[in-house]
Amino acid sequence: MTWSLLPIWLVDLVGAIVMVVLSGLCLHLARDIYHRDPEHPLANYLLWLSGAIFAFSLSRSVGHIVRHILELAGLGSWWKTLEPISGSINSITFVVIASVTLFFHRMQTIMNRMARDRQRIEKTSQELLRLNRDMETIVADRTRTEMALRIAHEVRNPALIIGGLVKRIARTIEECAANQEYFQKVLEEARRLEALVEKFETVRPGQQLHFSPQELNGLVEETLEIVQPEADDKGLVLLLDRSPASLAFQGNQHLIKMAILHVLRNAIEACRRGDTIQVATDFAPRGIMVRIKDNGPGIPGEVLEHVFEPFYSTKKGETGLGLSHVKQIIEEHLGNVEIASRPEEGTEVVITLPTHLGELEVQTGDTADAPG
Amino acid sequence: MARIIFPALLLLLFPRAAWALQTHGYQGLYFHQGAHLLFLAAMVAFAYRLRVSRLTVQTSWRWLFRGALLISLWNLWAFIGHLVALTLPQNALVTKPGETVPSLHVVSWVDVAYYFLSMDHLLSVPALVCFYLGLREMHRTFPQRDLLRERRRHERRRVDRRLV
Repeated sequence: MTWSLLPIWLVDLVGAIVMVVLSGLCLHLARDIYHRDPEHPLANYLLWLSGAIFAFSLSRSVGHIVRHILELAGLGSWWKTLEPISGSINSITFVVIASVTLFFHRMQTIMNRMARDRQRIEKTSQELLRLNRDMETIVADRTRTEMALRIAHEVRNPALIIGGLVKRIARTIEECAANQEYFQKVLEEARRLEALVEKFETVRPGQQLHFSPQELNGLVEETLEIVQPEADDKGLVLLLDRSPASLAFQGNQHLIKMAILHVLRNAIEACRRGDTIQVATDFAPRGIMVRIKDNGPGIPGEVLEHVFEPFYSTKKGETGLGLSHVKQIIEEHLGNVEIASRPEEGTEVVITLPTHLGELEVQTGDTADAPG
Repeated sequence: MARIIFPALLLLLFPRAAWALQTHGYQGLYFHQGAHLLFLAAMVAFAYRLRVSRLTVQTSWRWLFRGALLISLWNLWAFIGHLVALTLPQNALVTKPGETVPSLHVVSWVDVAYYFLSMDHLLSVPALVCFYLGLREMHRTFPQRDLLRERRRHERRRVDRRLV
């Protein structure tokens, strides 16, 4: 029984042509993708893969087509000479495709890393935008309050003087009924002015309206995530002793994170390679607290007394508003911040927050503590 | 170990033919078959990575996954085809008088296997169709250059604003 090889020839010839066309189309698409973003690793990878597939299809198909042509032309013996060359080129393209394909794992790792970094940047940028909005609201509230208090202060004295003088005049000119009526009206307006001043004076900063239930452990963890690369760069060890219990409080997450971030950055800046920064969260006698302790060079006593004062800085070119802002933020949350430091032993900052606003007694006076 | 090292040292004392240049009888076929196996392993690894990384949930990668599987099968097909071709008798292919296209003298299952394994394009062409469809889908979903430029400009603006 003999079977004609015609079907094999037809499949081989048509298949070879179709393969060249398809791989050419693949290469064209990959090139187009590459030109859209030549720096994109996926675009680069697809171009390499498609290029290798095109080379494979071309070398294989040209060999097969040439073979058929030579066989039909009665020059089959020529193929015997060309066959090893065609086969070798074909084998090389196999190896190239395999190499490119095996590199896919590395490419994927790079892509995943890029995606993670992009997500992180996106998240940080969103947080910064939210923080900006909150800060704008707080600044606007504070400006309104300060203006109201200033107006109250400026208006109070003239209003009281006018009121007092009018009362005295009213007593002396009781005879004239018409004048009496006018004075009564002036007196009434002066009283209204005084009442208005009182209202102004009762205005309090409204930022508590922007407070919401928060959880301290989560905020501390998120803040540590931000500074971890900075600590790694400097060769510092960051440790977290997280309270197993949930530490809920009322506050503004961005402001609290900013305060903790500031203290952590100060610690990172002060510490030397190999030093350790320990962060601990726990319950405090009247609320919750976060303790940031380092074994860095510490703060000299004469500097420690002034660390919470605005515009005090030992660093040239800095405003010195850092720790005073931390103190302001914490006090706005009705909490307090304490700092203790010993030269060459380290510094410890303890931020305490009330679990419910108004529960923690706000400490007055200088909270800086410089142990001998 | 001593059994190997000792005779090897003895060879240095009693040199024979140099054997510096050795010929390779089936080198071409071995290299080609090895390349087929490497190609097969790489494509299986590629398909496996696509599957475990869950990239196959996307249409484009799903087509590439199918393409990789088909090309793996093609490699296996071609590898066996080359082996079967080796066992084919010299007189298996005959060209009848008056015919241009030869015929296969079918006497055993080896001849039948050779006949069907020779049509390997039945696997390689669908594999390339899958690759093409996957790339076409990627081409459709990959961001246009204008969009990319706009996105980068937007990101730069955002960074500038933050710096201010």
